[in-house]
Amino acid sequence: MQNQINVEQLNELILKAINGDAKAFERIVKDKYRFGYAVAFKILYNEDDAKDVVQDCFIKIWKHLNEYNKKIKFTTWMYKIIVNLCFDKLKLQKRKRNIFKNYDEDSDDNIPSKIDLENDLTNKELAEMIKYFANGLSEKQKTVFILRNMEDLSIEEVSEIMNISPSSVKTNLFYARQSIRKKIIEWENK
Amino acid sequence: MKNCGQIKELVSSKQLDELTTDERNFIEEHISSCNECKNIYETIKKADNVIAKMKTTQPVLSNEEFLIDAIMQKVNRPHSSRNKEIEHYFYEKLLLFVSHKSVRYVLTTILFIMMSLYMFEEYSAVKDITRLESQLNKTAQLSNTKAEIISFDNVVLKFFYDAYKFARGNSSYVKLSKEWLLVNKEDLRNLLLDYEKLDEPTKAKIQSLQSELLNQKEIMFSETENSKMKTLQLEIDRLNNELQKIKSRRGK
Repeated sequence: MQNQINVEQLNELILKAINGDAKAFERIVKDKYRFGYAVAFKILYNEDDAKDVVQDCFIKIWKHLNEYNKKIKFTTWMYKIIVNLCFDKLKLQKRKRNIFKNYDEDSDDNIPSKIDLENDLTNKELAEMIKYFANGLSEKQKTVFILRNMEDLSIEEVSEIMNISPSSVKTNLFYARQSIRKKIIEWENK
Repeated sequence: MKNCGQIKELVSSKQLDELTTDERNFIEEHISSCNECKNIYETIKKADNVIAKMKTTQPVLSNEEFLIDAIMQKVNRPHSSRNKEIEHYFYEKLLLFVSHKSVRYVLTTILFIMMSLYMFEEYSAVKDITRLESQLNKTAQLSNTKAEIISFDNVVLKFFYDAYKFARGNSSYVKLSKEWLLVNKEDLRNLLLDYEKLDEPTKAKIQSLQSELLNQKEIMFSETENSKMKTLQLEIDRLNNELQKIKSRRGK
């Protein structure tokens, strides 16, 4: 595997890719797709859907690379596209589910477990519960929670990605955490 | 325990590392004597650790090279297949748009209105046809009646009836309605039989009046009945045309 590329190298590769250099773009893809996939997977909880989103995201980036604003981080821009594509996908899935709800009722209950938390069984169970509770949040709260708590992005980055104010990020994050914690407490008391 | 609610509220609304020293002391003091809250506190602490661990743990991605290949194939693909991609994108967006709840409601409403209009038109056409058919039947019936009345047979009947009455010295000339004539056809025939039994001077008197009455009839029928018949025929033609038009429109 190639070493991770630094900011200067990335800018150079972007410039080459804007001029049609597919090899340069491939290097960018190889360097960044894992981050995109992690976010997409945590939002969608489905490997195939997350892969589709990553694919669409890089095609979009390739087409609109000349519109990239160097003032923001490349990954922030990529996350922004990923999050929007995930929202589109979720909306479509939700509407499809609404149309065919009688045939597809249990899809929400079977969240696949793909995040490997070593062999700690209690932690694994708790992680599954957290994922399950996070999945029950609103799209906004869930995404803020994932980006901030699971991807460790700054409030400003989350605000840029989601096109909302930093204070709105904080509010959503507060409610997301509170909701998850309350559910964990309820679950613990059962 | 009286502070349990406060503890639950504190640990559920704040990150544990965001707690103030006072809050931390308050929690620690409480959980030393309350097992239930201790369990909750420990679970939340564990959950925070798990979330922190999740930050560094990336989801498993199988067939990574296929994903990169798929992306690069699309990046390098010829222009024609790019058009297909745009088409696919367009259809996906269209599907997203159509699957929207409010759009579905609007489309259903439009469909319902269109179906209602079609059914209303169908219903009106059926109603129109029924109306016209009954009107046509009525007109045809009426025209048949009139045609029957003014047929030669009836003219003769009426003539002889008038003549008979005249010969009998009944000064008041009875003008019979056509409907009456039609109904009383048989009676009139009987009256004609009586005519044969009349004496010769009376018969001669009747015959002298015959020509005069015939003239009168001719004038009457040519001026009134014929024109009425023509009007009736025109009305029948018009109704027939209208009926044909509606039937052909419905057929389309």
